[in-house]
Amino acid sequence: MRGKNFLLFFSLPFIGIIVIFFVLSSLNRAYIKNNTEELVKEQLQATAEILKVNISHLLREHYSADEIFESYSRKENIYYMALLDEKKEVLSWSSQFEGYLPLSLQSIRDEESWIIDSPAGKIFNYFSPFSSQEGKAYFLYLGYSLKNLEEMVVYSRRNFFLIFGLISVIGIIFFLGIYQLQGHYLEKKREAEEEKKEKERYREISAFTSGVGHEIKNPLNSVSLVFELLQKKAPAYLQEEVGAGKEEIQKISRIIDQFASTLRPLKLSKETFALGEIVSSIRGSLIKELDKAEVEIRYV
Amino acid sequence: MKKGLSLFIAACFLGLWSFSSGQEPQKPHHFYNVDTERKIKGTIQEIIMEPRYKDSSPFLIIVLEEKNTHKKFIVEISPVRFFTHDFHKGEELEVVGSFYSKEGSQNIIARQIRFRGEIIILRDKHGFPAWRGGGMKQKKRRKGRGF
Repeated sequence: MRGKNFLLFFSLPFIGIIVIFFVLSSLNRAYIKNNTEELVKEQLQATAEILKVNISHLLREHYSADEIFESYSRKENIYYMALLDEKKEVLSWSSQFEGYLPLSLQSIRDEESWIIDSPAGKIFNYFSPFSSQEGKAYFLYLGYSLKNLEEMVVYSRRNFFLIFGLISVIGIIFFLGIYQLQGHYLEKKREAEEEKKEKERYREISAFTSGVGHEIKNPLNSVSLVFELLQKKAPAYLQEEVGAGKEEIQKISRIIDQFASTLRPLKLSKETFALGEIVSSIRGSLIKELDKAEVEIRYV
Repeated sequence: MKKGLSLFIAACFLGLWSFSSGQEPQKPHHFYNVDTERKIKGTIQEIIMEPRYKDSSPFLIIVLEEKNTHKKFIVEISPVRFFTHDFHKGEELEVVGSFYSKEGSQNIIARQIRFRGEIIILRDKHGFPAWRGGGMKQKKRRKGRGF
């Protein structure tokens, strides 16, 4: 019973709340992450467009691809970049990591973006075409660091676990409280039921004893009448014994009455009474004793 | 979150336009092209240490003669400081890496090598150098397992 109550009033609700929180929070985080990634992707694509215009301009100014890349490759967030001709031959490239340019030309489309994992964090890759002002076709390949986005994700994950821990602690305290209250309520209910049973048994005993008392008192009355008759007709030397017998019969009758009244269920009723009258009546009965030297009345 | 995102985007833009001081660019040599990966097995003919990328410490370069064809390959291993094993002339070496030709020579940028029965991973599957993150991984060769 205790184990079942623990399951019903602590384990199940607590686990339920935790699971609901976990699922909702995970869905929410996934939604925010996806939307943020999408937003970052759009922004980075827009940045790439600006970059392409600049490169196109510099190419028209007869800067070599290497010269152009030398300046752009210094940027912290651009991990690598490459300029390809219309046949997708790499004209120039630069990378912050020795020889690292994760570009596979075997199945790449003319415009594509994707994210790869690396020991330096997630990298957003963007491959797209552009034309120089002379109309020559080129492709630009860029690899942007998504470190800031990852930091946000880590921050969000950390907050999630903090809140999760907090909710777990609060949940434990709350549902333990509920479980305790429920236990207390059950205890009271059990006590009330026991009390009810006890009263029922007491009532039965009372009814039984009053029945027994009635059955005893009937013959006692007859015996008492016999003693009264005896008292009238008995000789003088037997009067004392007959009187004593009658008294004993009356004594038994009184005992039975007392016993029956003791076992009768107690009925309490609210009444208004004059306390002053009671006190003065008691005082009146006691005041007769005041004349005796050793008697003293104290009001406490 | 929005604020962080805006900062991130602004940083991207600023990064593109500012020509502030940062690390010097590498002089383009040859990148790790995943499309030209191949495996060769041969004996070590020569051990060279030379700079390969700008602002990078000297690299360990091995001249490897392929067993069957007797062709010579110049194999780029890793920065010398990163590589902890000793190569000796005449020892066998198996290399998986990105192949390219330059001025008539056959070159390979090694991704992983098998040396004295041990597999040493120098780059990840996209060519990210292990000395720039992730660390060099070593595996003992298991019997019957491919390279």
